[in-house]
Amino acid sequence: MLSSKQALEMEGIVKRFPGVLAVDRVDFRVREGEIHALLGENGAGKSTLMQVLSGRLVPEEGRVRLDGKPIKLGSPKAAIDQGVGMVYQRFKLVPSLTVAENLLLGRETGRLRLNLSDLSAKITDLGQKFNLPVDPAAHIWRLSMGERQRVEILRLLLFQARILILDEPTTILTPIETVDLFAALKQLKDDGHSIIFISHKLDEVLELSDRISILNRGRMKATIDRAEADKRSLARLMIASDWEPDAVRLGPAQCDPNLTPALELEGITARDEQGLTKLDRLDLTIRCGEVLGVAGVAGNGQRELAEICCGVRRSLSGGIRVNGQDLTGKGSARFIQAGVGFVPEDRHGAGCVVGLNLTENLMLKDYRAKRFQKGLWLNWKAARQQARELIKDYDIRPPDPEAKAGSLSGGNLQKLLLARELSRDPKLIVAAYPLRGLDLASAGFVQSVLSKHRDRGGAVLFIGEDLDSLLEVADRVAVLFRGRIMGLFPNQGLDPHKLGLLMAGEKATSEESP
Amino acid sequence: MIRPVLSPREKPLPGGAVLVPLLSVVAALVCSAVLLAVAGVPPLKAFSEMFRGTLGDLYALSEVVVKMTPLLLCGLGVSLAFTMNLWNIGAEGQLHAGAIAATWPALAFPHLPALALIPLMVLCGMLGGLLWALGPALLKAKLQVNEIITTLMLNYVAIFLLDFFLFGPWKDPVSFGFPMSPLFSDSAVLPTLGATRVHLGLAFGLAAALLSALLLGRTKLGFSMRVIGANRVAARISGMPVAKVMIISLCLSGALAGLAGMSEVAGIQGRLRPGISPGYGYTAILIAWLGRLNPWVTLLVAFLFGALLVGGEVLQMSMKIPAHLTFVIQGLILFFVLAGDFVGRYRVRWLKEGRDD
Repeated sequence: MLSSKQALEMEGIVKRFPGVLAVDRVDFRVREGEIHALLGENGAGKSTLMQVLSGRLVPEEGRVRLDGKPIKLGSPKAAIDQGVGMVYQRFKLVPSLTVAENLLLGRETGRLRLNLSDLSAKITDLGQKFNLPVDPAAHIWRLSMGERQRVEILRLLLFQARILILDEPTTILTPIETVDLFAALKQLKDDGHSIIFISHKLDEVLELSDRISILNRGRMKATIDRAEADKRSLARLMIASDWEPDAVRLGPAQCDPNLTPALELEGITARDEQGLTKLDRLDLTIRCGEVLGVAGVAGNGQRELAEICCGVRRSLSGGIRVNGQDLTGKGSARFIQAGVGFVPEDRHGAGCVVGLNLTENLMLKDYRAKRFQKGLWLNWKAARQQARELIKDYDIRPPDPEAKAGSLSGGNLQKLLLARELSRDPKLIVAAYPLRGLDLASAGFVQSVLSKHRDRGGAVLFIGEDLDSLLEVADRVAVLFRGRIMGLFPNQGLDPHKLGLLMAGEKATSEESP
Repeated sequence: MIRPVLSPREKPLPGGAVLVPLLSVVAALVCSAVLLAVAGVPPLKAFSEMFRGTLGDLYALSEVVVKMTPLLLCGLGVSLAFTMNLWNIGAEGQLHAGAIAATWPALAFPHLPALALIPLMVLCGMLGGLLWALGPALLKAKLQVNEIITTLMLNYVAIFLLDFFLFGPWKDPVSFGFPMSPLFSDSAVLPTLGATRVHLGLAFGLAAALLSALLLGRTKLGFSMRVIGANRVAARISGMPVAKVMIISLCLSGALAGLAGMSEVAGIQGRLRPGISPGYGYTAILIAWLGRLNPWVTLLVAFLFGALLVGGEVLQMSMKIPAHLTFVIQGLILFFVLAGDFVGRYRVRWLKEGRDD
């Protein structure tokens, strides 16, 4: 269905944020009926460019034309009226309403009475046509992330959108949901829709798209056909980096692998906020000097496991020992004291305080430490000094101790968290999805820092979702399914297929009892 | 078609910190002038009266400072809770509780020397406000009970408690039935500055501003307050004692409001009586909000509100303007200052649509 007709032309787009030129004179064209990938590292300007298109951001310069006609900039409504719609990374759905009620929002019916049944029928029809099945009467909070995403796409289709923008849509999906999404997108394409697919995952981009545009630090590097692209060339265009993992400063070796385990969990049970059992009498031991990878489909107790290991959540049963010290029922302060570092899944919401600056964020866990006190007062000079050193060691950008943490890109924020945790000489680092949403360079950095911590005798609990990266760093792999460890294997000649089956809940004989 | 688009300013306006509030006040005065003219009052004369009565001479200025004192103390108190993202709507009640508690030593030990009695009253006043905030603080920290509701409702309790004391145990036998406590002894009255009504409470307020600034900027407690206020989850993960700091900051908040109550009875009234506060505790919420968690800005804002209060009174007395019209003028000034605050932080760009060049 590829036609050469231009559905969208963006010319000379410039968008500045305080202190950053996020998008620098970018031209971007999309043809009718193609899947066009927009590839780039974190902070390359992909989301910014697309938010300009969807009307959420007003560019300083530039023009946008749809089907040759200019559209009004900075108006989400105008964008939608012209057939441009975007699915954001964070969904804009009301959890307490049903699918149909959510899709009714923002539609001008012109009548007082709401006609939900007509809309429901439409939703079902569209869902069938494009492989996006969803129950119109279901409440949003009951739906999986994949289903919610379908609702967002259906919303755009109901608005007659011709150009669909998806901002890193696979980040929150399970592998199976990803396959379903790709099938639906191909069907939409065959129907003549143009799809802009924002991603930094090379495999996906190569699998799905017809053409690929690469952004690098706010500049458009190239637009190439799928046929001419391969992983290596894309990676080269996308990455512009000069990080130096060897410069990282780590604490001295903490413990002997033959001695006490870094963490012992016995019979741990935990419930989530809805009261569902998320961890079910779970046992797990992490030795010093190893990276223990936890594989599993998201939602099988990973978050609860991470929080239990850091004392943020209390177990309903069983016991926890950190480095031989019994910390059952203790709070996070005691876990931090005992040498547990935590890199949480939600970096913005839980890992840092976005409104405070880098200095303050870097001393978040140490503000009571002696070296930061001067009599009654906090010693800000010492704090800034530490911040400057860590920023340099971990190559955090911008290298300004006074910059707000909220102004950092995803990769730099992750470096900030690692810098804070590792500078405290921890015995155990609990890292929940530490590579999620990171570009290749930052992901490599995180992996090397964690391995280095391991090499010095530290322990790492690495909760991951994608098996490839897990197998790259882990010494042992545990498979988590419905709050239980399905198997625990040394990372040697592991068959990803077998792990996949375990993650899906298939029973198998474990080679090592957990 | 041209339409406005709002975006946050990247840098503050050059000179905006001074210019924006100034222009806001001017704009408010222009609007008020229309209103006054319609009501048959010569606007220019009214304004010159208002200016003369607030900033015109030292005595006028001193009256503004008198009104500013309780506003400053309550505003700083509310601001401390606000730093924690807690809404202390109960400064009014804490002020009354502080006034009641400070009255007790004044009536019980009237013959103590001032050097002993006044510190005792300060202590009791702060304790009174603190106790009034302690209940909501504990409920919030332990049971997640909404502090807005509890602090607000305790206001009424405190005001009626004050009535109870004045109609009951502390009623002045020679007041001809008026609900008032006996006059305090001289040693229970705060010293004043020269012939003005400016009393030692001003020093309490300035000291509180300085201590708040030091607390927030340079101490462990202040740092944890700012972190918890900005992100409770991150604070919990970082091992901060969230519940404890919550209780401490709400108690400090109440103690400052209680001190305001003490300084009103000991500095202005010289006795406990009803109506010691024309809503200082509620105005303090606005002051704290406009003060943006900065004690020095809070001080400035409290001064402005003091001037508004005095200016209103002056208009009523010298121009015979009905009280309600003065409230409208006060409201207009407030409205424009709030709007100016918004303009100072956001940029309005006029976007031309449908252009194609």
